[in-house]
Amino acid sequence: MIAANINPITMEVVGHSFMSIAEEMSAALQRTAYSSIVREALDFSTAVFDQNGNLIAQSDNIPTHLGSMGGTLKGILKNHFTQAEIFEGDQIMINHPYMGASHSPDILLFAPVFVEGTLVGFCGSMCHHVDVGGIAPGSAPGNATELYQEGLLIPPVKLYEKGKENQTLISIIRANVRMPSYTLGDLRSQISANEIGKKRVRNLYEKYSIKTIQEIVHAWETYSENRIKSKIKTIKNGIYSAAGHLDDDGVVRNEQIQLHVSIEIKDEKMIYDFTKCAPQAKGPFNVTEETVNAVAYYITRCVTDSSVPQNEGAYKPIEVRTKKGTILNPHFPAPVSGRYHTIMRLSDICLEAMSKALPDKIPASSNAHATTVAIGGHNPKTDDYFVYYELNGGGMGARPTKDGLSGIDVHVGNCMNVPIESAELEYPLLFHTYELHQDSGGMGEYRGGLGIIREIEMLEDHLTLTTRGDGETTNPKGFYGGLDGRPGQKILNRGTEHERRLYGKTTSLIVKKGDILYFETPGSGGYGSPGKRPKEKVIQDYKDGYISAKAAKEVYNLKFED
Amino acid sequence: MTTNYKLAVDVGGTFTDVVLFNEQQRKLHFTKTPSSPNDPSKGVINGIKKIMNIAQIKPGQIGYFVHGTTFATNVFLENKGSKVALFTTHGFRDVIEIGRQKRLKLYDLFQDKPSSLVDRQFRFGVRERMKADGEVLHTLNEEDVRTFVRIVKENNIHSIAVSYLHAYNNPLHELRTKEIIKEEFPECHISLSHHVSPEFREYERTITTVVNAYLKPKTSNYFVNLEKKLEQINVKVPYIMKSNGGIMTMREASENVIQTLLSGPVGGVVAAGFIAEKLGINNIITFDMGGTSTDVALIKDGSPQITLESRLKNYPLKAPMIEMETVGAGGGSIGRIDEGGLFKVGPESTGAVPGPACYGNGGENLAITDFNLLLGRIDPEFFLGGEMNLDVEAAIKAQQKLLEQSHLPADEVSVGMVKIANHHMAEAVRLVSVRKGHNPEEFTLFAFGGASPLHATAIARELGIPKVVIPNASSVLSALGFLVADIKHDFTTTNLLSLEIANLPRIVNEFNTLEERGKYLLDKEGVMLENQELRRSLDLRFKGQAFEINVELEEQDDQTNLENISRNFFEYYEREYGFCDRSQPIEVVNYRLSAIGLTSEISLEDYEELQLEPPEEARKHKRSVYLFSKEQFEEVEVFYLDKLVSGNRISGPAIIDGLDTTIIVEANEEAQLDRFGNILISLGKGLSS
Repeated sequence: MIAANINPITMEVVGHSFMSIAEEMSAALQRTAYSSIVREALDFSTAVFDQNGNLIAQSDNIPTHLGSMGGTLKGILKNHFTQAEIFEGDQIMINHPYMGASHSPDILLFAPVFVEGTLVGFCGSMCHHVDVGGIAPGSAPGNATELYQEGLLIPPVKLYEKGKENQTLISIIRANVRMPSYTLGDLRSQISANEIGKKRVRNLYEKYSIKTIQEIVHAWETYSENRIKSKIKTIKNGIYSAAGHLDDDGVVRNEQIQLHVSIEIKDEKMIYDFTKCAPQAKGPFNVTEETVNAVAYYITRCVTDSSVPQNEGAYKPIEVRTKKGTILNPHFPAPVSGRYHTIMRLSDICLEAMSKALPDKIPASSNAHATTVAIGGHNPKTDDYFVYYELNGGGMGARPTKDGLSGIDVHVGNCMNVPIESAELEYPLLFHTYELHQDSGGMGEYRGGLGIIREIEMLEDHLTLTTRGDGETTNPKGFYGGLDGRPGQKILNRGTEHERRLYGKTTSLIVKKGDILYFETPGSGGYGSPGKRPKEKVIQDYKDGYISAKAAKEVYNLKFED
Repeated sequence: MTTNYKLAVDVGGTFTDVVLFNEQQRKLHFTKTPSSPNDPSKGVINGIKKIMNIAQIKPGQIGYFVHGTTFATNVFLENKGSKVALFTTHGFRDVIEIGRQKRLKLYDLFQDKPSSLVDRQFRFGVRERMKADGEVLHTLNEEDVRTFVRIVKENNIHSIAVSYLHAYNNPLHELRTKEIIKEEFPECHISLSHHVSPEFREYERTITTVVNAYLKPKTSNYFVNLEKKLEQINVKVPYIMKSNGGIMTMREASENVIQTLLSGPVGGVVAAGFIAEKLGINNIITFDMGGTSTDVALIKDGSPQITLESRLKNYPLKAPMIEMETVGAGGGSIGRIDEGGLFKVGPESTGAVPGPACYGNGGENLAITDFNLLLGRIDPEFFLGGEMNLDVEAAIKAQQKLLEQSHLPADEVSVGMVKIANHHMAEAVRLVSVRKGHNPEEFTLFAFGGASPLHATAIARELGIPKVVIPNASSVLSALGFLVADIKHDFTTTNLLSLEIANLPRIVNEFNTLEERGKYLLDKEGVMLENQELRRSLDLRFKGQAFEINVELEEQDDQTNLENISRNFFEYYEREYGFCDRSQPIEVVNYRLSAIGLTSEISLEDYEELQLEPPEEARKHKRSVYLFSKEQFEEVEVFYLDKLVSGNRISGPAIIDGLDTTIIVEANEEAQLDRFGNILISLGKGLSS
């Protein structure tokens, strides 16, 4: 499969080097980052590109960013800076969702790499910043109705030109974000990553000629493309569909947002048709095209070959169709900051569709979104503004051969939690509970993974609480006889006279000292009929408290003393 | 009767290595006996008897004894630990199952998390709570503890891990819990989180404590058993080699089992550092190539680099260890061609059985050893000093499949596989050097472990390392390292403070507390005051960051020193991360103290440098070998290593055959035997890799 003129050994060595450069950039970014969303949750990516913006290698952090950086860079090269306008020492910045970026908190930074005066490529990093301004702390207002409410918009501009910092730009950023020390700190981390990458890429070009490397990059693309194609070919041709929905769009409450996919397997191609999705939403759950692509790339790798190197070739067998004016391809300036929740749900639906083609390879429905909690306000420990931000995982659906995983982030996400001891050291918060939620995993021959319960007490007055929760009105589906899992919910001051159920997408609620936020994240679906689960496994589940005596009796007909 | 013999025993998977050093005569004896995996103490006793016999000494003459063991490591790797119960703060018993909530692989829908090692029914939430600043919020509910201990006892579980939130800052509740467990269930093994890993981040601390608890019953049993057997033959109780490159008493090792996880491999690093010092070399990279993997470590200015978190079997273990990069490429790593036509080496290995195809045990996979053999780089009749004959035909036969897949000539396939293995190993060297901001050109590569010398110069060349040393007694190097290791205890506390003059008294205070603890322990172990050394360091970061850089402190704590500390931090930061804004404020996170008890030096036998020209009897014959430097086969001269005398110089291309290793000196390289029996290879310039 390798072109005759390419030495397979050099190809392996050079390819491996590019991949480790992307990983090395990622390590530098994480270790120097300021905000917990970057350093703990790992909501960032790093990558190396050729001089035309084609992806050569990307760090494996979070699938949401798959493929999107290359598209952004190509757009910049096409519409904003020609190669002649790019110099050694530049750092080009963008976050504008309608100019190629994803949502405003994601700032991308690209640094050109020159070898003996010739532009040979770019190193890039993309990072979710904890706040870029707008109407709510964390720049993710669940009730935004236009892009301008979601924070500062940055078209392609140079943060550094020829090694010189653009201080005007820095001043504008500083004046527009809630926690400039974090935003500017994380930008410095992005520069670190790009600088480390540049150095390593240059070293590589010292050993091999530009021509050799270009040939090898091309050979790797062909390699990835062929590997994916050969796996698609093993799936039966046909059109596989599934549908689902979001609870609502955060603005128009109690009105579900319909999502739909038809995946066509056509010999060596996978065509994702999302054109039947709902019209664009009033609230911030719209998704721009680059980000929709990430879902297709992610799903394709899950159902074909997870070990294929990430590059432009891996995307070639994939086609994505969306319709302008729908939630997956909205008109400017529709808000998009909640797009993550939409593509999590979309991923789940795509897997459900593929389960019809590959019933033995796809898990039941998962906790297909991230329960995000942002608490902000004045921190007496530092006498400064703080934002605690966390994405909570839940259950991963039961698999055709084993139980699902509990308390895990799934699909296009893969964010870590923030250590409680770290959060309590830094913020005026006290955690009461962080446990798995009994009975939230759908019963079945294989049990779905469990969701999480968390309780957080406010230690200061006048804190602002913003949550993003979906999947509170629907159950994660069980497959092939497996039962559904439990949805999530949020309650303020549970078990007290002030108890109140919170709306899933609560924005900027003022909470006071002593208030306790309680929430459950969704579990996931079971797989196969519960009757097929061996008795000893049910007994073990009961002893371990993954299921209650009630569930054991009602579902499995096993009686235990409670 | 003199008692000036020092003994070291290193138990490996296949062999138990024994080294005995006579301090007066400066003479080193060494031997190997087969290991006894079911009860490693048998192999230890056999080895001791064997070496006493060789050196003609009595047990009473052994005045000093250090033991390194991978016992706990094997229990861990083979999932054979004991049942564990966990006592943790009420409401947080699932922290060890949730972990950091992250998937290990992005696209694998069938992956698993690393097992939490404790069944959920035996994770107990005790009502108690510390605040982040160490203040008690809820006192310990002692009834909870008593009730849970009884359940543990009824269920026949003999190891309890205790990990409460913020216990690193105030261990009061953990200590009291231990007392109660002792009252209720005296024979139960107890691991306390503030003792095993006194640092914040509850998942990492708790899982480290749980792993300790998981390994403890069996490992401490092994030590008890060994102690009995040694008593029978009248040999004193050994010190145990520790993952941080120091030694500890057997009693401490039984408590802090986690500290023995790298007990074996770190010996080689310590020994290499010791030899390097004798040779006047400050900066080295150690390269230890085994059957399935290769370990690489870096020593800068005489000290090995220490890491505070390691990943084993996907568990993040928070315990100080010598920083090692391990790659799944060794002599037994399998070379294959994947479905896309690419050459791949490892991480799969042929294992000891059937082993590489050339072992003739029916193995159908080709390992790196096979490719070396096919390239003439190993003499089939002189493998392990002639103890084992290799089957070239079997290797050639096994290679057919690769030739059909690749449509390449046989030699090219073998050369390609070795090159890829070299690339993987070079990558590990790059990770400990270039990636940490160290320039490999300023380092010497120390190659030991059977297969290393076959690959060392190629790797050195790929990274621009000018010199390679193959140390004497390289096959028992780890054991030699045990003899030169010092007693070393590490202490840590956490207290977030800005690095500024106003906070100096508080910083000094943190260290005073640690120093008291360190001194107490060294005194208890009978380390004389003049042999006590206390090394202080700080974990620093820019305020707002979460990962720290460890910066060593000097004697003084005055203002100039603060400037030194900041400068060292900035410089390290810039090297490591490529960009540093020095205007940002620095924050102190952890205070670390290493309490060191210096052991007496050993001085190795050395010879005059006799002659440049190798003696006639060292010349063996000629053999055809593939030279990477010339990209072709060539007839070159073969020398017997044990017939060479110090000072002998050999210009490449040539082969030096030793009893346990083969050294290929490529064209433009020159090897010389030094006064201590080490081989130094200088690499010429202008070579392709």
